[in-house]
Amino acid sequence: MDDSPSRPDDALSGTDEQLLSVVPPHLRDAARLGLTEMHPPFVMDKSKCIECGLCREVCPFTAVFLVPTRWKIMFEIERDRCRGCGGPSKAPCVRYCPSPGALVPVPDALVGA
Amino acid sequence: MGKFSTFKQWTLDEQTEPFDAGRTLSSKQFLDELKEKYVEPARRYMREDPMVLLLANEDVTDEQYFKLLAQRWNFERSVGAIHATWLLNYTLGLHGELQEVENMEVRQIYEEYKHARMHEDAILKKGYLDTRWELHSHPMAQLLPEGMAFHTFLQRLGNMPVPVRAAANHIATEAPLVYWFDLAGRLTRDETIAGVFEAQVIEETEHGHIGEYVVERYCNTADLQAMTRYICEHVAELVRRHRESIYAFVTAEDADRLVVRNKDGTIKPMKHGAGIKPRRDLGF
Repeated sequence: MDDSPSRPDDALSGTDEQLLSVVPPHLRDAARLGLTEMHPPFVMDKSKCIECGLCREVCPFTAVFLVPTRWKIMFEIERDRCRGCGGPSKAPCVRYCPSPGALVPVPDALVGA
Repeated sequence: MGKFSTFKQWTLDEQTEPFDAGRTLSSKQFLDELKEKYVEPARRYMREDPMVLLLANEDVTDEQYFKLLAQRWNFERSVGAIHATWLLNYTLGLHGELQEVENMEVRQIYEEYKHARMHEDAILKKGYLDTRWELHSHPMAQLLPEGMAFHTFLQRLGNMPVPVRAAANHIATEAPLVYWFDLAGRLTRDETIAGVFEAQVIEETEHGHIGEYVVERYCNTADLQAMTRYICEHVAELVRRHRESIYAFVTAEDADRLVVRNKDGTIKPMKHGAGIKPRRDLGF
């Protein structure tokens, strides 16, 4: 994302005021939670997703969207926006997902495919 | 009847009495009457609805799309909130009557908020705003006065009998809207926004059917039917005013009221974040 701070750790070490002034609003949570480390993006296993929408609300990069289709309104992760948030152990979407295995990282070989 | 008996809570007054047909229709007949009055005309009217015609036009501006999505976003939330309020007042019958209606209503609240979130996401995907939370304080996303009138009126129906309020929302409001969503979904030029409208057709149909079920099962006394006619008459008028106000709002060219101007009158370039000024001069 163009707006991302180039050195978020510096911002984190500063005062709150510096943090607010440097980090764009939509990335502030990510920087504060230390989730700016890139990791392969996640994909949704539709057979396990219960469509509660928690992942959409906790995603600091606004990568989960409600996608309308003619018959159903579904959740979807936009791969370009998902930054992996430091892996499954740290990513809020995985941590808060009530259905184990519904969110899985894309295998390295497929990233960018 | 005891002094505080609730056996007969509701009686007709001077306002509702003129709507009394003088006899009790079977609930099926009464449902047909309501559909004839509120749903069928909508099927014809929506083809000429100015908003639908506007959406079918090639020249729809981003400002118009944004205003419509923002208004619809708030309106969907408002309907969810109305039903959440109504949930406070469910007295089950002696044999568990109305429990199924309560469950349907819970389902509907989830869906109304889901629709609202879908509008939010379309706004982000179109690049109209940077963040979802900007919408909450955005001047173009606040309920119009006519929307607030509708919201307040319906919310106060919370202590009315369940079939009366179900008819007010589901039959006088939502069932006619199905035609609007269907047409708007087909005619809107922008694919993302068309998808938002189209995806609501089935769930709004479901909401209309909830109303049909409740009226058919529970709206079975002359008093209830008279009250329902009275309330639906008012709600249909409020819906009409709200629909017209949204169209007037969407077609008004007032986006420039939002811009921040320099002292010499030139427009300051927009920064993201409502009221937050990012500082780029720190060398990061």
